[in-house]
Amino acid sequence: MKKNILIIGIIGISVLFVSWWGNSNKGALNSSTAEKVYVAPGEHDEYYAFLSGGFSGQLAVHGLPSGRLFKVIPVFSQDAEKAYGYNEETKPMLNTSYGFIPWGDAHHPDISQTNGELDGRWCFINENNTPRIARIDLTTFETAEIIELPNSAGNHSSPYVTDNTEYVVAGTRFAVPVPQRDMPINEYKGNFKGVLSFVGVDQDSGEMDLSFQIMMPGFDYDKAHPGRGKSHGWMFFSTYNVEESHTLLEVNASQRDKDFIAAVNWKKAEEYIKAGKFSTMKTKYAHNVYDEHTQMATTTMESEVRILDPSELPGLVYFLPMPKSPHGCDVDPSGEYIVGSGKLSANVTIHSFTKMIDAIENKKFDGEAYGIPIINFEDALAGVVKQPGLGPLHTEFDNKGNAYTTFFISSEVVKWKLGTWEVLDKKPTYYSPGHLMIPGGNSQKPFGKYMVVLNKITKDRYLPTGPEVCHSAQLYDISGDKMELLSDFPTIGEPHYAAAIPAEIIKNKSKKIYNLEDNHHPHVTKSEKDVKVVRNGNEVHIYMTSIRSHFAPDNIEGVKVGDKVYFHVTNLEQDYDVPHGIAMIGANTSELLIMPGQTETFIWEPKGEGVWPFYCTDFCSALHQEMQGYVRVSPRNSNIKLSWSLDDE
Amino acid sequence: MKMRKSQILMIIGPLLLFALFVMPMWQITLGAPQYPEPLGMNIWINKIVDMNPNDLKNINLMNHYIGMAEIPDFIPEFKIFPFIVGFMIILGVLFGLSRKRKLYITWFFMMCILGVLGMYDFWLWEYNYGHNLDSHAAIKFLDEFGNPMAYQPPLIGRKTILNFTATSIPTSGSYFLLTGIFLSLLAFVTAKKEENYSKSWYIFNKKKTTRKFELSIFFIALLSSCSIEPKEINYGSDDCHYCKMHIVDRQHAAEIVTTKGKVFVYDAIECMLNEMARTDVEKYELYLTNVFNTPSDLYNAKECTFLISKALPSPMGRNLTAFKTKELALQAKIEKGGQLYNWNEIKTEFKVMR
Repeated sequence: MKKNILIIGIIGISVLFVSWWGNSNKGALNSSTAEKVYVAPGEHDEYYAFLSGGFSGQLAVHGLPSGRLFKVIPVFSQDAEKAYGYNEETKPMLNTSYGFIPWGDAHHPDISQTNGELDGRWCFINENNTPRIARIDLTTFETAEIIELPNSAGNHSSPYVTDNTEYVVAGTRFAVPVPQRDMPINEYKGNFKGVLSFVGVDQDSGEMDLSFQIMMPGFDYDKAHPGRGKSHGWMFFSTYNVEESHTLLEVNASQRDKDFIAAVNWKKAEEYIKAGKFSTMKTKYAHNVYDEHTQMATTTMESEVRILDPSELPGLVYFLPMPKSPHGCDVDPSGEYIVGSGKLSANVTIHSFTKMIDAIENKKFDGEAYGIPIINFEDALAGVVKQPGLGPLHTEFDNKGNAYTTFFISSEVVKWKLGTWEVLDKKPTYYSPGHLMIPGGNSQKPFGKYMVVLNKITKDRYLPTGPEVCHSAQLYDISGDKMELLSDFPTIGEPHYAAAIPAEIIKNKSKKIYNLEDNHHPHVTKSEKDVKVVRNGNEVHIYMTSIRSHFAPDNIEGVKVGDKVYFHVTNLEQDYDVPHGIAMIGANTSELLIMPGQTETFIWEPKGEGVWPFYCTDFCSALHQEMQGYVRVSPRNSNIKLSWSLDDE
Repeated sequence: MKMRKSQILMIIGPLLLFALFVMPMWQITLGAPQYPEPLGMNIWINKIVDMNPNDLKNINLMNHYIGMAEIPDFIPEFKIFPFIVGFMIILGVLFGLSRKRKLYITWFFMMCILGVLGMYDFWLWEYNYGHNLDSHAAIKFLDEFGNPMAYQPPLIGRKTILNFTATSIPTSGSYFLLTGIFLSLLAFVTAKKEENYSKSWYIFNKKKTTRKFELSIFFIALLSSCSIEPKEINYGSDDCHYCKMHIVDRQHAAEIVTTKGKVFVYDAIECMLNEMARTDVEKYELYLTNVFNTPSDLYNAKECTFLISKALPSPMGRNLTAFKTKELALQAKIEKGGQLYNWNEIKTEFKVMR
């Protein structure tokens, strides 16, 4: 009997064990697609992804693999939600040589690198319409700096950071007269110029500086990619319209069999600058810097730029022929292969950096264009990926020697092997992808787990929202042999390009509050004892504080019709995630949304007598609804003295 | 002389208390749904500090809604504790050098008593902190019996207070302290097994009997004098703690020093006695009073003699005056008339409970 119990016991335990073993095995093998993108409530994503907002002008911060949207960072457009470009502190960020511009077209985010690896210090993004580059601080996730690019028009091939973030670049998409002048459009050929700008980045502060510009022939410069590793020191720009036509480009710029990739040796350029082989051109461009110390942005108008002329400076620029109006020109993590995607071609053409250098040394040239040597196509060619799809646009790389190319026309993404050029896998996208992005996929160290494909068209993919529907991003698992579509999620504006970084690299550096002690805003009020209201002619300055759950002062009298009232509001909180907002009835501006330790300013010009309320716009606390106050506005000729109080004190 | 194992233990034990000067001894944290990373304070022997930057500020901000007072930057204990700890370290090391196991166990018990007193003091502070609420608070909660809710944090352990979970735990400093105390006990036990232990109470050998155990008593006295001592009255500016009037008369003022070293001053002896009658005298340590013949000076009230005489008016109308000696009082009585009382009698006269 005892024995039997023992046997039954052993069998029972074995069954339990086997069933557990079986289950766990099954779970691992059959883990569903949904599980791969599921980030449980309260859990964090693996990656930060920065998706360009395209014509929204902003930069969206998503998590991967969930696709959840965390923040929209205002960069080139006013944002009433955050008072960016509305409050007195950030208005200068949108200044240009053309004056204040409330909107921009954001294109290509790129994260700073050290030794060719993502370091997560800053994220750069270019603006196409009014050529500019912005730098976003990845401790505050706020725009820290915007520099305008003179002599440029349509800043598309930008910003593309070099291995150690020495430079971000900007190639003009539209050739224009340089300097600008009144001339017949049909005299474009030979007269228009295409300028490539190199913007140096200070390694400590991140501050940008327009180091020099290269005066190139009047082609259209589309994309760029810095050399990596062995090709560090070079920058490759794709071109189209080498035909130099000025009208109906869709036909006239597509006539030649080959356009060029311009290979720029920027180390050589530095030597020429050092040797003084540049000319100085008078120009005008804005440089806007947000100082975290004073919490104010300032605009400096710059007036000069150094110009290098490649036709006179040997070894500075070479042209690599590339079939059919290349869009992408992408360098693999080893720095050896330069992948050109002729967007009207059915093939992907790859040049070899080693062969290119050899061709240069042995002068294997096929003539020149405007004094710039054209390298013989065959002598630099590494290989061709044959017939992978239609309309290749952009290529990124994983860490296993594979490349991934988007095809706009055939709406698919193709995985192929570097070196053998064989196609390994093809997957449809929904629909018509522009760029794709693999975290670190344009650096020396890609993280080959996920790929995000950025689509231009969605049509029926989501619930319809009238004629205007969203763009989208699609997430693929690329860890296996075959790509696997995991999810697609809508994005803001148009996601031209994206950049992603493992969350571990930056999440612990993310600021929680601004230290009140370090607030050197000229109108800061650091304690309720110091609040005051000051009249200066018809300007009234209110030095106000906010802390849960009141403003100080919250009763103000003595303001008159026709006054210009400045609210300088300091959020005295020093606790994570306790912003206070403020809005005033009838103010012709946005609310303020003030982070702990910050000071912001808005202007109100009262138009009528009365007692007008203001209130906190961010649900800050249990008594948020009580966080309110009044300003009494008296007639212009009234004798009522300025006074202010909190709790009648 | 070779050190014995017990001596080494007895010396290391007190030295571990040095940890209290470099690390906190207690921590109170407050977690809530909105505070997944709790707010907290670290309590040292001489200060209360943020667990993370701005925590105290943020705790005060939370607490103002329910009317709790701000966490003090400073309490008198912070001044006293470092001296007590320093003194106990010196004493412990001296005891260790003495090789007297009775002294080892003495140190152990002294530490135990001080520990209990310390915890009691901590509890009192928490009690005040949790019960002393501003009547104008925005949010007033009542407990199940309809009384105003108290927000006293737990002495040790975990307690839910509204949306917060308060956790109060000893930290590294306390562990060193406990280990130190334990080592002294271990020293005592070890010493029992070792030979030739003197049963004397003296710290040093009998040859040096001049430096007796009284030396340690002297240290204790010195220490207590640091904390519980009379304070001079600022005549003309100090206010009477009882009747709130300025203290002007230099022949009738009085003063109480509490067991915690806090000082209360009075413009008249009758005010002091009235205060004693309505409060718990247990918490008072010293009573001092002016005397008639040498104005401004303060004397131990327990040794004085008191005269109630209509010919000698006192500030608050009870015609009560103190004299340094019975003889002086008697002389005054003969001249002015009235009735004499000693300290106990005058307390009875004012209905001071014992």
